[in-house]
Amino acid sequence: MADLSRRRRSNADQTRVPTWEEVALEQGQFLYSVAYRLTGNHNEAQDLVQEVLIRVERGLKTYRPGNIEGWLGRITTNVFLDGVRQKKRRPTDPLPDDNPERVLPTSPSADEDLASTSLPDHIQDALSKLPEDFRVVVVLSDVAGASYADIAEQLHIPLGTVRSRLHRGRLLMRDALSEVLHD
Amino acid sequence: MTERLRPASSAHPELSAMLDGELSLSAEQDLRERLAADVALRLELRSLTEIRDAVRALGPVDVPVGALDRPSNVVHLRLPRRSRRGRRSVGAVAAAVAAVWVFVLISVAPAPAQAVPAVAGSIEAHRASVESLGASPSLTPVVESSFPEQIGAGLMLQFVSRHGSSVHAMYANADEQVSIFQQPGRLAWDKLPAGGEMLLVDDLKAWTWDDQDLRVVVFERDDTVFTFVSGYAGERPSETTASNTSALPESQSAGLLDRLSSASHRAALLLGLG
Repeated sequence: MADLSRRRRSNADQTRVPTWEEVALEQGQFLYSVAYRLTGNHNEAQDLVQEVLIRVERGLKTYRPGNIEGWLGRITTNVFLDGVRQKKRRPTDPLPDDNPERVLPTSPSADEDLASTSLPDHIQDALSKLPEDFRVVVVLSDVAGASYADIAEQLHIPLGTVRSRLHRGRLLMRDALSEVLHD
Repeated sequence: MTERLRPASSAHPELSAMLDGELSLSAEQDLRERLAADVALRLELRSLTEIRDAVRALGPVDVPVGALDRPSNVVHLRLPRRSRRGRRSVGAVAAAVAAVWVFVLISVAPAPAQAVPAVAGSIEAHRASVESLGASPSLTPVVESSFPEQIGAGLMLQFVSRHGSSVHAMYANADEQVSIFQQPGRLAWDKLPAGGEMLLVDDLKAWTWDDQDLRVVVFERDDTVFTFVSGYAGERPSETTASNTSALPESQSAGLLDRLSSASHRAALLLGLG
């Protein structure tokens, strides 16, 4: 992914304001990848990207040419975190049905699931289970390839907080993946 | 292996920082010395490297068909673009109408002791300003004010306009626009919309709520009511607000506003901005 980030950087002319279409074309996969890593599923990733693209349309009017990945990363993570906060304020998950037969999952057991899932799926799963504040920092660093300083600026948090959240996030993932990685 | 590792609460963030090349030379040298003497620390570094590399190796995600289509739920995006000249004309007409209202109503009612923020008008003014900002940055008149050129989050002052006794300052950075409406008076708390929540802004009570894609925050300081309107792209509007309250004009601005004709306040009310 870091390679992807470098390719985009070399292809894009960052001295002028891009059009909306250029952003969608040149940064689309980057945007979608960040969105997917943050949300952990395609439905939410698509919703997130759509909201980001709406803001890109508005934001391009005042965008000053420069680090477009940083700009997009900031919008994406902000939209994501806003969505998380909204969900916490107004949870929309349906209440469980009265009939337990219809509610109990039919998915395989944890062991079966472990055996049948690929490593990238496990990694994504562990990522998705991180607290949002940690997940955002891990994704910005290891998926979007942002520096600590960029992340601090994007999230308006101190550099030390970036460092500790990234470290804690990685440790939590390590604990969650210990069986998978060392089997 | 896991048993020998420190738990996730382990406090060695410098290990991650070293992995990412974010440590100073001296700090890295110090850490390397500690690593040489501490097996557990070396194990932790190795496991962190594994995790970091695994996440980095995830690679790009295939984009589903249609995921990058132009969003269709924003009506104005589908409308044919008006020419720059056209936009300016519309803005000029709006500004002229506003000016006429202020002029016509210049000698009416006294300024109320309590101020009821015209939320709908503020939101409309914010949206209109965001729209016009890209097309014609100098559309809205700039008036003298003590608003700072820059506030938190890299938000730069775009313009300041006065509508009656209300002052509207517009700030923007690369992806976010924030409007600050300032009007004299004591905040009429009982007139604020229901369904919001109370938060503390710089130790001041503030009332905040969402209006579609916008966040609105209202609070009072030094007999002046401030209304912040910002997009969700403002990420953490309450934090943005909090970090910016200290940069707001001092109370002498409120005094200046108080000296304005009370009638203009009435005009602003009629314009939905008072």
